[in-house]
Amino acid sequence: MNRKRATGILTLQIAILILFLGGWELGARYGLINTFLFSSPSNIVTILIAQFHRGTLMLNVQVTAYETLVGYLVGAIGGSALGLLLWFSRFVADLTKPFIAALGSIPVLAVAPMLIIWFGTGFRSKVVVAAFSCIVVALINAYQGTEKVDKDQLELFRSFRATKFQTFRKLIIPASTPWLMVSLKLNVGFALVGAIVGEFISANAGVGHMIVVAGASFEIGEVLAGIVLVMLMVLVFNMVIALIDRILKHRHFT
Amino acid sequence: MPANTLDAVDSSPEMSSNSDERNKVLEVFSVSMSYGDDGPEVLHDVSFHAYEQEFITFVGPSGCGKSTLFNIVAGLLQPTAGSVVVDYKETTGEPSKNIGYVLQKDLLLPWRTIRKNVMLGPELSHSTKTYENKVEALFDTYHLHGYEQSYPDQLSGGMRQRAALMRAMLMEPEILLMDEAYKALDYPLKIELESELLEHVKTAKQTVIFVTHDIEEAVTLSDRVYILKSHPGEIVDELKINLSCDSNNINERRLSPEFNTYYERIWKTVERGTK
Repeated sequence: MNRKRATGILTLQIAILILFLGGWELGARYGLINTFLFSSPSNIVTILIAQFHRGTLMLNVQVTAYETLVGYLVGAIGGSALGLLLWFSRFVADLTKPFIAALGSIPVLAVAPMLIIWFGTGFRSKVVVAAFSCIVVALINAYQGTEKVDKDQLELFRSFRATKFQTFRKLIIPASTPWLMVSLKLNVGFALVGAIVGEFISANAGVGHMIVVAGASFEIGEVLAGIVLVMLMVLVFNMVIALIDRILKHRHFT
Repeated sequence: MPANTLDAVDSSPEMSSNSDERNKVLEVFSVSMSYGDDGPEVLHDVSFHAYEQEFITFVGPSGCGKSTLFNIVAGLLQPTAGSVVVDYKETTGEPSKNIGYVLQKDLLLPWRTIRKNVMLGPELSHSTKTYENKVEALFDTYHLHGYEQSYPDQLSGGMRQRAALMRAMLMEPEILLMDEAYKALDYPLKIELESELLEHVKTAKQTVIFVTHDIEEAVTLSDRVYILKSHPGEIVDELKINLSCDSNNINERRLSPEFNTYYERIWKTVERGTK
């Protein structure tokens, strides 16, 4: 029954997508939709193919993907590690709580221009912006994960006279994994937004750069092509994270 | 059977203990416990002891501080006053290697196989090699052979509770602490596991401190029962159980002629303690 329902929903989703793209394409062809403002699906595909042949598509995707990946590793992985490590000292956790919250309340768009000044206009500044956009979420999620560990399991480890480090490695980290995975999934999008925001402000390559240049010359088709690329990149990143999640769920990691 | 035929002991544990020459593996002296500076007293002046190979049960109404007492004996909680002595060494507020620990929740780690869960104790004390062979035999004894590589969510409630007991038993603790360990199980399974428990602890010559609110469980399992009252938790009676049945089978023990009298005596004392 559930499977039937899921298939039904998927069919409907595909139908809605076809209807949306089809309606857009037909509207553009028959003059119902202004192509200067909204372009058309076929035009976007043509642009993407042309960019691919020119080599700019792969270059832009590579630049943004690399910035996102390194920013993600520094921000999401580093933030998660810091959040986990806070478990060792409740004092430090309580002490730093308001500062972490304050840091988390700063929109990446507001801080990005300053980060570009500090770290230059190249690759490094985009990585810093991408890392900044996910570090706080990762840190808070990881720390919350450590706080949600079953108190009785902690007592069990105490009863076996486990050291604090043993408890951390054999209980806290694996028990916090579901929380870490939620934040790792969430942060893929945040890291990509960070990298693109960085490219918006100052860059000479990347999908964000492509969008901002196209937008400045009213090339809506190219702007939309950039958006499609961003969506595809998030999709691929999420698939990789889902794969890692599945591997971890096999529970052979401790 | 009239109540005076029962082997009731004096309610002062110190007095009753003088007559026995067995080793006292656990002694608790005047333990009191309050949470917070002005918090109400949860336990008041609790003293008791357990001899080697003795099965002691604490029974009492909710709010009598059974679980607090359990945590104090386990060394997981520092009492406001009093001390805990395990094997003639004070262990107040610190877990002792001579104490094993089983709760109502099996506390199996879902990301570990059953074998790795059972081996948690040796792993944490860096003595895995010493217990490698023993653990194999234990899986046979506890009817879990073939489930070594399974994960906890692949096992039934009873099997999980058996695994939890194995985890505690593997390190051969002198004293086994059990807090409402079989509360969540259905009746036939509870009976089955309790019979197994009696068999195991007698074979391993262990002392058991069992905490329960279930009087039937207290009578069928124990050599001695302490009855607690609530608000604050205090020992109000101590009763030696002497069923005329040598079997470790709980159903057979339940049918002993003395069962009802013990049951009634405990029930009345518990009832008085709640008023």
